Order: sequence, then structure tokens, then C-alpha cells
Amino acid sequence: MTYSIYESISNPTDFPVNAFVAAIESSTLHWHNEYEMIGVLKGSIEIRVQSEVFTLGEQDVLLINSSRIHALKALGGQTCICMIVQMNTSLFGTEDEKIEFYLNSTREPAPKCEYAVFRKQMARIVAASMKEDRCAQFRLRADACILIADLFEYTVYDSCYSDGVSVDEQELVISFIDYANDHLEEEKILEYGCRALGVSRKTLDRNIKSFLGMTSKEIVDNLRLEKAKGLLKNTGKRMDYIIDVCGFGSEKSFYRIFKKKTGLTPKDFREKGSMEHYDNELKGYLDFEIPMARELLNRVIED
Amino acid sequence: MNQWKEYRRKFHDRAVRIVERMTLDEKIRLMSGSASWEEAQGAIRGQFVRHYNETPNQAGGNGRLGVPALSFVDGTRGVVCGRGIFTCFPVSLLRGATFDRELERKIGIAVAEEVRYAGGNFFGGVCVNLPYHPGWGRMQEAYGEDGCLISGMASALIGGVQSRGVIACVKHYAFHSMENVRHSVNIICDKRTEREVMLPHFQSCVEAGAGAVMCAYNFYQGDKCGQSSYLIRDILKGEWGFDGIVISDFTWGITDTKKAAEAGMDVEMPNTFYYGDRLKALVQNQELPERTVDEAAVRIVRTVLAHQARGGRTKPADQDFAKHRKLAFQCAAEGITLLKNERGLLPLKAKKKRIAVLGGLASLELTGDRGSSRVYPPYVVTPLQGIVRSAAGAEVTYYGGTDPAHAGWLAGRADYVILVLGNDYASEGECIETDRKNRKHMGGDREAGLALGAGDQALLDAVTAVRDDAVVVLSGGGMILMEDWCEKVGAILLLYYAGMEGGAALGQILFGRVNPSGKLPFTIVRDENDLPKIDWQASQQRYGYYHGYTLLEKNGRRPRYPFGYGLSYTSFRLSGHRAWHSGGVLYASVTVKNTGARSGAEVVQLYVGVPDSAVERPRKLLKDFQKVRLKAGEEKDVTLSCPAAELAYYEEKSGAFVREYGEYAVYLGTSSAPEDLVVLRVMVPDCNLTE
Repeated sequence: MTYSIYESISNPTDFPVNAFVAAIESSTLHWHNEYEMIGVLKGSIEIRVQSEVFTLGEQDVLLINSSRIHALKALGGQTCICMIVQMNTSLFGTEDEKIEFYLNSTREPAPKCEYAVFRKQMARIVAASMKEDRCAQFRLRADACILIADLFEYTVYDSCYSDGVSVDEQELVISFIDYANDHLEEEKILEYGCRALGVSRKTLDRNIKSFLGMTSKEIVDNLRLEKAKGLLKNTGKRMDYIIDVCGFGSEKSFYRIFKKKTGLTPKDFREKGSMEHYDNELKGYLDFEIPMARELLNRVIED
Repeated sequence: MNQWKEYRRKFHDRAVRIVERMTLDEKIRLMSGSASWEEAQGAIRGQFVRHYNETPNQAGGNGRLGVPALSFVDGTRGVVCGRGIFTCFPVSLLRGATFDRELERKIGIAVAEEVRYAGGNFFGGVCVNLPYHPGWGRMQEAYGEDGCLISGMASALIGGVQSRGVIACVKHYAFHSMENVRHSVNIICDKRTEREVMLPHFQSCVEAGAGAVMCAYNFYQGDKCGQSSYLIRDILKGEWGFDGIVISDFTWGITDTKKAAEAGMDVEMPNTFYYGDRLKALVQNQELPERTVDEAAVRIVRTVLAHQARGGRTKPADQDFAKHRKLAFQCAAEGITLLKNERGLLPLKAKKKRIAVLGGLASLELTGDRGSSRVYPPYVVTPLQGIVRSAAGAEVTYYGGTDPAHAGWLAGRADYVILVLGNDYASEGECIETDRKNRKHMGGDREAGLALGAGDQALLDAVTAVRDDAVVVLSGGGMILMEDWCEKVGAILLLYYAGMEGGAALGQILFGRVNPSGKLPFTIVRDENDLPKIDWQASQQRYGYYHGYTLLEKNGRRPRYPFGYGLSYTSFRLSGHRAWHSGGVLYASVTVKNTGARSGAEVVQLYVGVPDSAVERPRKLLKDFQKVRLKAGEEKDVTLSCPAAELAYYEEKSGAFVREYGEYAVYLGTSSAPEDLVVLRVMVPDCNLTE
């Protein structure tokens, strides 16, 4: 089964680690097989990982385990600059064993070392990924292996075998989000969605609530909003077109929801600043000015 | 006379003729191992790339006259030689828990086939030491605390091993049940303890026809066992009529050429140091009669020739190894012991369940210690692998770390929790020096006590704080105290060290594919003070007359779990108990019925006491046992027996066993606990009148 909210992560090299600095504004719920480590360099960010929501500031670090549905949102009306290291599960263990690390500087359990150990190591990897010389490729590999060794040595982790039970629970939620993504223009999206998935609204809501801690309506609003934001920023489409394809129904509800979530009217949002490279492929990671990124990384490494 | 002795006697004349043609040098060469000093020393400490016993240790032999060398393969849990070839069976303690002699005989056959495949003709893996205290580091190599159980199982193993042309070697003769001071401790005990408690199972092995005996390192009454005339010449060869080969334990088994030779030590192992030139000099200087050497040479040649002639030339093929692994699985499945199962918690229903497996031991290869009995099998199924394999439809999460909070969190969100706790090669086993300078070792006796380690206890506490239905799986080759926590968990399984297929058997028991039928081969006490006093660092240790269940019964102490105890997923009813005496033998019979809904096995146990004895005795002693397999609803009659002679006591004054006549108490049931036994009275008339 393929899911549209599944994010396929491509690598510039054959080594299955993807490391970069990104300015994050927001992303929709998505998941991927890679482990994702996020370290905030500037600003603060709210990260939803399934039903839990964490707020990360500068100095924080978080690991999102493989296949976890997650979404990011910068706080304080600012984009948040993060270093991100995505690592393929093939680097970690055997096929039938799914390892889950517990590394989140805002929650227990704490690792047996300072969180700075992980931040520094991530910064080294990301810095290496920005270099083009021949040795940098090898530095990146070596540093990624050290990071993985640190995870095994210092963090609490457990292993999951034949994770059928969780996958079953997750499946309905993912199917619904997929359906919603494809049918945002439908006003009666929840009703049609339940019919398409063959479940009652009650079952759907109970599942989504227990798995993501949200209601189905919140998910749909969120998806519509993100789609609208993309169209506002990256296209010159007219408002009524955007309202239509995003399924807001009326101009009134579009404005209400948009204002509530972003603090801006759609018009102000479109005009404010320019984020030209809003990249749908990478779910909201924006290219960032390279010299500043280097400086921020060096600060972490030398701290 | 036992049939093996009779058989070996047929080779006597031939052996004498061969020895007559030998020079003194050739005769003396028969009497020691051919390893170099460096090999013998380094290998034992594991300092070589080659492991100890990578290939069989050679001793003696004479090419000119066609006498094969002794080709020594160590055990006890299988063939130690090689890497990635041979089958690792469960340790002897688990095999004791099967209470199944026939199964043990089959293991003996499988082991012998593999010994021959390894190029050996001599299996040094029949360990019959009686653990005086269950903190003994090598208790895993014993069949249990009871002499009758040890005799029964060891005799079966000997029978199996020797049926394939391999000499079975019984060890460590005698009184060897302290590990850390094994080279220095002097054991003392009174005569009744010696004759009634510590030696009878050695005699049983001699009567079962074992072709060799290995002496212990320790001292007995001031003499090193390997050079004790009392133990070797007087008792073993004299009183018991042992006709086979006596060998020394490896390096430092003997330390005095003359004393050893005079005592009747036939072969110095694994290298030539105190024998060889030193022995030759003694003979040449007429300090030792050449006859002593001749006698040893004849014994060696006679035994080797006799057993060689018994064995076919067959070597196991691939399908035989597969068969042996199946046997290893079957043995584990029959020995793993279910001690507690609240409200039918086990077997677990896997479908759609979240199962948390906690404790780092779950992902280790738990085959036992890393001493001289370590087998190097091609693979080992860990408990975790076995659970994952058997838990179809379940989601298994494993946490092997030590953070109690995380363990508690996982336990809280799971449907079932399985904790794997206890010991491994680092915390018990043969004592292997790892750092001479700092006096560090791995394994050894459990000097810190018999409770769970602090890390295990913290995990257990974290789990029992959030739920009372955890399943505890205990790894280990000895007793683990559970008084503080056994009421706080839902089920307890004793895994022992269950061999290369142990994890698979555990998984199938946990999820109900296999119905457990193991029985405790030792007593689990409530309090460490209920055990005999022992000093693991002693230079001299007294073994008392009582230990295990006999000590608890003498002191009126109740065990936590009694010797012989173990649960099943089905239920059994015993009825029609009868006991009688005929021709100097006590008999008892009972009908066992499987009253539950699934197939299972029960162990019927016969204990006998002499209530009106002239001397102080244990209230009762195990005298016979029989494992009986029953389908749901099926019933079978079981008859057990015990020669009345086995109930004689040793009288120091006359130096002889004294038989008593009168009323005997016969206990028949399914464990050593009074509530599991029915007592019957049987009159044993004076044999002079009836026999």
C-alpha cells in the first residue's frame, strides 16, 4: 500500500543519510521510514508526533522514530531554523527488528550523556553534508555512524518485533488522511470519507483521537489550511478558486479558520515576505541561506 | 556384577598380553595426557584462539601394539569440541528436571555419536556431584540436589553414551561442590554423610558400568581426591569393584607422583608432569613396584579395547544432527518448570496482544557457563527469538536496558509482560580467572547470595508497581530466592540453561504449543538461612548429613517451592495408592488420570522413610520416579520400586550398612510436599526369614 502522506526521502549520495538545515514554517501530518532527528538552531517549533505535542526551543533535540506520523509548526509567527538528520532504518538493525529510541530533550527518559553530545554530532554531520570536497563524504559517513553508536550507547531504546497491532491501528488513520488529502474540495468530506473507508464516524473519531489526539475535523481543517497556504504563496490563483479546491465552502469560514490558525488574513499572508522555494516535495523544509546556516552550525560544534 | 564389567573382563587376557610386550616407557606413556604444559595452562584460562578441547585431548595409546589413545571430549551439555558443529543440549540441571531417564539415555546416544564424529572415544561429561548448597557455581552441571535423581539420570546417560562405543567418565570423585576454592578446600564429613549422602550416586554409576572416573581437585579428609588411597583404592576399586580407568582432573588434579600412583590414579590429564619421567624414576629407584604401573596399564588397555569393540564405525550424518537438535528441543520442553500460574495466566493468548519482554538476558545465548563444559553450537535460540517466533499475531516489544522507569512504562501499556531475569555465565559457573593480578574471575560460586541481582530487582519492582500479572522467566543453574516477590507476579517459569533450542521451547510453552512438565530438581527455600551453612572461601568445609529437602524437613521449615514440584496446563488425579513388600523390594503403585482438557505429563514420585529407625534419619528420601504421559482423559497405572537394601544406614562401628526391619513409610505422589503425597505403611520382615 502506498500512502500519499508517505514522504519518500531521496539522498544526494548512496549513503542512506540525509542531513540539511531547513527553515520550517509548517508541515502537514506525514510519515516516513527514516529516523528523523531535529535540532533547533533558531526560534522555536511545535512538533506533533502522533498524539503527543512537544515544543522545542534552541538547545533542544528530538528524535522521531521510523514510521511515526508527525507534523511541524514554527511558533511565534517566525520561521524556525532547524538542523535535520534523516537516517534510513537499514543502518540500524535487522529487518524484523524495529528499534525505537527515546531521545527528546523536553521529556524523560534522559540519555546517559548531555543532549549537547547529540546536537554537536548532528551539527558535524550537517556541516559535512554542505561541503563538496572528497573527504566530507567520508566524514559524513563516519559521523553518522558515531551518532548511531551514541544513540545505542546513551539513549533508552527498545525493539519491536512483528508490530502488527500498532500497524493495524495506524492503518485506518493513514487511510483517512490519504482520503482527505485527495478530496479536500469536498464539503462533506467526513461523511464521504467514512463511507469510502467503511467505518462509522464514531469509529473514525475514536481511532483518530486515540492515535493522534485530534478530531477528524481538526485534521481536515489543518490539511485545507496547508493546501491554501501553498497555493497562496506559490501560485497567483484567485481566492475563490483556492476556497473551492480546498473545500472551505464559504469565504467566511475560510477567513475565520485562516485567521485563527495563522493570525493573518489570506491576503496579508500572500503579501507578507516571499518564500519562493516552498517545496511540496519536502513537506515544508525551506532552503536556507547557506552562510548563516554554517555559522549557526559552527556555534553548536564549538559550544 | 554389572554387564559392562563382565563385558570388559573378556578383554582382560588380551590386555595383559599386550602390556607384557610393553617396555616400562611404553606402559608409563599410557598413563598421561599428551598436551604440552603451555596448552594445558593457556587453554584452561581461555588465552588461545583455539578453545579448550577444540579437538579431543589425547592420552596414552600405543601405535606399535595397536592400542588406541584415550581421546577425551568434555561435556556435560554436549560435545565441547569444534565450533558451530555440535549440539548444545540443556544443562544437566534442566535434564534432571525432566525426571525422564529414557530421554537422558537418548541424549547419551546422541552425545556419543557426536563424540565419535569429533574423533573422540571418551566422554568426560557425566557430572554427578551432589550440590550440598545451591549456590555452588557449577550446580548447573548436576542433575539436582537428590542422590536418587542423580543416580537415575546419570546411569541413563552412561547407558546411552556407552552403547555407541564411547567410554563414559563419571566426575568429580568426590565431594566436589564448591567452585572458587576447588583447588584448595579440604572437605570433611562424618562417615554416615560420606556413605549415605555423598557417595552412593558414584557407586550407582559404577554399577551402571561407567568405564572411567575422574577425580576431583578438592581434598577429602586432608588428601587430594586424585591421590586419596581411601577414595580410589579402598572404596572405588576395592569395595565397589570398579574395573575401569581413573583419570585426574585437568592440571593440578594430582601433585604427588608417588601418592597418586599408589592411590590408584591411572591417568594424569591433560599433560605429562607428575607422571612420565617422574613416575619412571620412582619405579627404577624401586620406590614404587612396577606392578602398580602394570595394573594401571592393563586397566587402560582393557577398557579402551573393550569400548572400541562396542562401537560401530558410523558417524552421524546431517540428518542425525537435525535429530539431535530436535532432541535438545524436546528436552528443554520437558524440563522447563512452571512454578506458578495465577488464574490460568499461561498459556498466553497472542492474537492482537501487545507483549513487553523485559530484561537483557532475553536476548542472550543462555546455554550456561563458559568453563570447560561450554559447547559451541551452530546457533542458539534466545528467549526473545523464541517468544517472537511463537507469538503469532502479537506485537512484541523488547527492552533490554536497565532504566526501571522505562520498563515500568512499557509494562503499563502492554497486555502481557514477560520478565527474563536471573543468572548467566558471568554470575555463576566454573570459576575462570580473567585477571590474575587483580584477582578477578567470571563465574564461580554465588558468594553474594542467592537473591536476584540489584538490576533485575529494580526492573521487577518497577513492573510489579504497575501490575501483578507479570510472567517471570528465571535463567540460571542454581536456586534463586523469590520469597520477596513471588506473590507479586502472575507466573514463574524456571528456564535453567535450556540449550541451543531453549528459547524455542520457552516460546512454545508460554504460548501453549507445549505443555510444561518439568519438576524442580532442588528445593527453593523461603530464607537463605534454611540452607546448610557454607563458607565459599573456606580452607576447610564440613558437609553435614542434611541438605536440601531433608534439612528443611528436619528443621520443620516449609519451602517456597518443594523439590519435585512443577505445574502443568492440565490436571492429574492420582487414585488407588497401594504399597507392598516382596522379595526384599518395596513396591508402590497408583493410577494416574489426566483430568484436564489437554495432553500432559506428570512425574510420579516414591519417597520412603523409616519412622522407627534405630538411628536419626531424614524423614523421607526419593527412591524412585517415573514420568507418565497422558492424553486428556487417559489414565495409566504406574508401579515404582525400591530395594529395601537402599534403606540401610551406615554403621560406623562395624563399617557396614545395616538393614532395618519393621514398618516403613511409603510416600507416593507428585512432589515432595506433604499435601502432594499419600503415606502408606509397609511392613518389611526380616530378610533372613523371608528371602
